[in-house]
Amino acid sequence: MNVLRVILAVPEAVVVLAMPPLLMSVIAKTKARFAGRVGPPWLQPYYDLAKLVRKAPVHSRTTTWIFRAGPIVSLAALLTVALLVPVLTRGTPLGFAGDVILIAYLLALGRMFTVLAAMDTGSSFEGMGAAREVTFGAMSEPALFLSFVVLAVAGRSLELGRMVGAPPLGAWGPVGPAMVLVVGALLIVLITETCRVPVDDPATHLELTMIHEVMVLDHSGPDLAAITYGAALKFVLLGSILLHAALPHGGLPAWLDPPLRIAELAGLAVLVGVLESSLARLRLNRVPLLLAGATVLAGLATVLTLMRSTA
Amino acid sequence: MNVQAAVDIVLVLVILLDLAMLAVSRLSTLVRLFAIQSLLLALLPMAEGLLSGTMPGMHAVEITGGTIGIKVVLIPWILLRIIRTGEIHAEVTPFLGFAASLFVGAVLVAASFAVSARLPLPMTPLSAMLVPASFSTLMIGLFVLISRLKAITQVLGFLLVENGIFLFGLMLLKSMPALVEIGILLDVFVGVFLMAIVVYHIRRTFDHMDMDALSELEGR
Amino acid sequence: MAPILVALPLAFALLCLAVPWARLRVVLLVLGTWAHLGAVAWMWVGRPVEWVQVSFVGLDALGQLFVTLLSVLFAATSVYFAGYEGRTAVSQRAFLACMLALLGAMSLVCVSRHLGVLWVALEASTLAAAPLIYFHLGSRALAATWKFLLMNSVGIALALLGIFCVAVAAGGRGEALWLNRAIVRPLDVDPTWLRVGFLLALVGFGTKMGLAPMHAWLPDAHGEAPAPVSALLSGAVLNAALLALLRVYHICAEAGQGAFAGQWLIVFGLVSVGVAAVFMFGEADFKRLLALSSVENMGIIAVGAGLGAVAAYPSMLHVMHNTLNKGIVFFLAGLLGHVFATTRMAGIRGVMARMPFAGVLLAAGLCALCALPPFGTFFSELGILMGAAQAGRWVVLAIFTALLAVAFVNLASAVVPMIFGRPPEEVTPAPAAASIAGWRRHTMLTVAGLLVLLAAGLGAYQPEAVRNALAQAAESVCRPGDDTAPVATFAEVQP
Repeated sequence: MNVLRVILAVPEAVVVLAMPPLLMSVIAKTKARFAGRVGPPWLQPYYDLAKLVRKAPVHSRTTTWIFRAGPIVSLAALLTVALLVPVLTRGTPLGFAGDVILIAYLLALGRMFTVLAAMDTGSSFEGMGAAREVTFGAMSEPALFLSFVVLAVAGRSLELGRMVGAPPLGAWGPVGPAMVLVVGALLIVLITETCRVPVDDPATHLELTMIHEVMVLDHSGPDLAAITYGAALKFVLLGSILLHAALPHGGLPAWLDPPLRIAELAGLAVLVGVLESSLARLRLNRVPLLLAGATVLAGLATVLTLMRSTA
Repeated sequence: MNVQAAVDIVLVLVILLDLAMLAVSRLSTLVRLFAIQSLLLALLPMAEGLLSGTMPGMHAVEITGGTIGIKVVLIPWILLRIIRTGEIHAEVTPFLGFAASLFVGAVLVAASFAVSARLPLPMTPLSAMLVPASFSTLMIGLFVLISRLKAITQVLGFLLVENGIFLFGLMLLKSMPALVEIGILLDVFVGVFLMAIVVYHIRRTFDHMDMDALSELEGR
Repeated sequence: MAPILVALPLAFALLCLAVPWARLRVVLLVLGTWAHLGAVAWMWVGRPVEWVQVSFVGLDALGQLFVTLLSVLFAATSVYFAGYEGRTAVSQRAFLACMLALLGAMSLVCVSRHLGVLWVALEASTLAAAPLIYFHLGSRALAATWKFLLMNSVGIALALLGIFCVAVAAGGRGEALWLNRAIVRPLDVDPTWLRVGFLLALVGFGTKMGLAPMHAWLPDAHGEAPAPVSALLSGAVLNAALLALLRVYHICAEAGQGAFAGQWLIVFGLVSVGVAAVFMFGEADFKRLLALSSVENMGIIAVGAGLGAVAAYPSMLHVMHNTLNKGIVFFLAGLLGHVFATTRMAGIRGVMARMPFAGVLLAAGLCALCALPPFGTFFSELGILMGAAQAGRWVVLAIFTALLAVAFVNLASAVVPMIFGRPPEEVTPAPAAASIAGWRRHTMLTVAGLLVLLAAGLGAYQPEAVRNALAQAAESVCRPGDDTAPVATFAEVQP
């Protein structure tokens, strides 16, 4: 790794880490536009985070260290993932062959600690949320993995940074239909993992219908800030994987990448906002069908890709 | 985008529609999905002509026209009419849950790809995906036939089987006399028409369309 | 000439739709079927074998045999139907038109020279037969119709896939589907796809033929349909599917896959005979019992055809006699159903005592079904057994014999009490007996009696022409190989 690369990585890291709350703001603004409102100020998520960080956390006496570790481990896992996922440029700071598996497991680790922290409170609502989170997580993971398989076969690499976007539009030639399916599957995974509308409603007020929100009810202050920021970061990371797979910048000069990717992420946020405004939330018992659909899409894509690569 | 890629995408869409038909619960949506699938299939004989660089022949035009007329317009119209006359029972009642059927469907699709990889064709088809797509449609049709109880979903299962065979038959486009193709289409149409009449009578007699009740024959 | 066989019944069907008087329509049905029989007879005496080939239709020996059987059965049934009374749920006009259309469609099956046309005709025959089953009102008839329609349509659809596979096996060349230009050089054919094609055709046509694992629709349809329609289903519709299967089998045999195809025919045949034999035990309904007997007989024919050239001749003989026998027993079942007002065997007792003539006929029918000597089925089954022995298929021979014995016992023990048993006290002589007019009963009995005479006559003595026709048909199923000359050895046991 040369010095220039390191120097260039610093501003990139700053942008990547600073961007997530802004994207949440984009989603909120889009939804507000659809509802005919002005919406909160653009920087509102940053104000919220700053306010939360300044507060002192309150911990229930029934909780143990797991409750305190939960948000920190989750955020740490996501930050590690951020080093492995190409966001603004084509390379990744820490990429190595096989890092896709680490990425998937880091995401799972973060989820596990969130769930454990929720169960540690002993509240029945949070236990219920934890059960749902685990169920849906377990059902979306096959879709994620199968998508990775397709990308790995298409990109002939096990390193995420090389898998996605590396082959120019060539990836779309022979395995074109498969890529369409993978993008569909990844979009569903993104929506599930970031708790967006057809699956989960981040703005709901009813504990009974919550999935993610109900698990973090007992967190406060900096812990809650970590969780909120982590959720936004997750959106950026998974969104980046999706965008790099869907829109490889093969023929374009490298310096165009960062501005284009930022614009694309914003576009994705708008898309999610539009989806949230136009779709009704699915009944809880229909969510598994959606996730099964994602898995089937990814599975079909796998079959297609394998057929092509062996033929 | 060249014709070959378009054919591939159409075939993938056909498979996706098969799978979607396993996940959808409204009968009318099911019928519409079938109509869309048939429309996609109807376009393929045209692609055959385009692919070989010539204008589609009279034969292909006939098949496309016949398929659109019968499978895209007439049959869905009949089925939608039947469904609309009994608004109460407009949902599918499967043996197996939707998610489970979807997984079975995915396994069937994978199996179709595996089987067709084992059976090398003695000729070059329209696309390498033609045979797998045909087998998938066929198998999912058979699966719908055995896993769904309503008479009308069974009709749709039969139609899916038909569509699968139509796909397979595309390989023989040049060697099948047009008379035979039209005869097949007419048979399917009359068959569905008769089935629709029987479904209508079944509903009048049993007051619902569950084939479960028809098992009384066995208890005799 | 051959197109006339198809056009004639269809023309009469249209006439039937147009004519406003119910009586006249029945007359038209009889006229139509007898005109068809006349055309067939003219073919037999007129020109021997080289028929004019009008691209899609034409006659060969096999088609000629089947179309003749079809025509005889329809002619008998139409007369019988004139005596058969019953309220129809579908209008009588549509019913009769469907019957004639069925005759037309099945004639097309017999004379088609292209597998695609054959398929279209076969599916058309399913569609024409479906309304016939919905003759009696009610939920059971409806359910039976539904089962018949759906299972047969799906089965036949699979057979279409099988036909496509055969064409693909020949490299997509359309000639493979023309029966008169059969594949000559086995090298040109992909064996895997041909096998796949045959298996699909076996399952598909086997569904319509009533071969065992796919026979679920058959007892229901036969049990619910009125007796004349049951006779047509058993004697003609199953034969049409059998013919289609034999056509595909012939292509396989020509392409060097005869052994493989025969193997599977034998497996399905034995399973059919076994399933039918077992399920006959404990069947309470007479017509359903007869339907199971149809399954058994189709199984016997499949085994015979599967054995190859050594048993092809007796198989064709069995096809002929089975058609006649099915006419006899279903006609009697219809009559008894009228007289006793039930088709349940427990309610039909002492036929011999009440109606001696019908009793004698029923006994004869039973003998024919059980393959007892005066009837041709004895010779045909014996021939198939001898063929199995000749081919050295001892396992097949053993299983086949055992299953036939079981079927014999079950069938006889179910039917004998009907003939000789004492009428149970609680069953009063059905009021329906008085309500059928004498001429109706006489018509039905006469038709059945004439068929018995025909069957027994053909069993005891075969004219040269019939024997030649059967031999030629057998040859066009499976050409005798270099092993032996089976027809010669078999002719020794023939009277």
